[in-house]
Amino acid sequence: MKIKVTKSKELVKVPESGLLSLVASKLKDRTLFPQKVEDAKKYLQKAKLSSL
Amino acid sequence: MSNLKNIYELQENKSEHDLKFFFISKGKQDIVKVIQYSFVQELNGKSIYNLGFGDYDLIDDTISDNTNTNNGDGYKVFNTVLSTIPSFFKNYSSDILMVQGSDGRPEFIKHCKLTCRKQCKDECKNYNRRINIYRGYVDKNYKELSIDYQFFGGIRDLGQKISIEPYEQHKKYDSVFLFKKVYNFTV
Repeated sequence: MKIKVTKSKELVKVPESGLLSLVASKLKDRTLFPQKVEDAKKYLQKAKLSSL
Repeated sequence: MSNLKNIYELQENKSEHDLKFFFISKGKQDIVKVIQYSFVQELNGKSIYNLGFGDYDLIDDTISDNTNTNNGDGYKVFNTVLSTIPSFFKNYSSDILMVQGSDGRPEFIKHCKLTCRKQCKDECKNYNRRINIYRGYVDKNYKELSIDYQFFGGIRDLGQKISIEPYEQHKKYDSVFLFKKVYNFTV
């Protein structure tokens, strides 16, 4: 009888600052919340802005 | 907001178009949180920026601003988000910051009813929950915050028109606008 051996993925420890730098580079130049920006634009279109 | 204690360590990233912050929420699990101040539009020579905040999933490369992670560190996360506001005004000193919750969208109530277990009768308790947390902070610290910042509140009426008025403590708003006060001293 053959036994199927599955190898789990190796986990690598990354320092917190390194992880955040990686995230920052992945998200560079990206609009992260496009829906919110659109919502804000629509909201402001309906708003009376004279008091601001 | 500049003297908030119990906050996470932040990484700041400024580009030509926006200002981002990153930190790791360390509660029941580690969650990467992202904050972005995005340009929305110009108004009388000033720019209006919107505050966006959510979770980043590193594996799927996706961002969500409508999940309640219940990571057990809500106050620390909230304080960390607030602590970035003075940095925003350091970078955009003459501009306006707009804050709205992702649970304040008109279609939110309909979506909430599909999964919510609260069985709200008249008013959805989750609607505008996020902006109410921000308002609560402003209301509680209004006197102190008003030294440095000018606040306005936005209210949507039944006809869906929006009025923006000088902020009144404890009044229900569905958006908050703020900008830095400028003091001119002459000697």
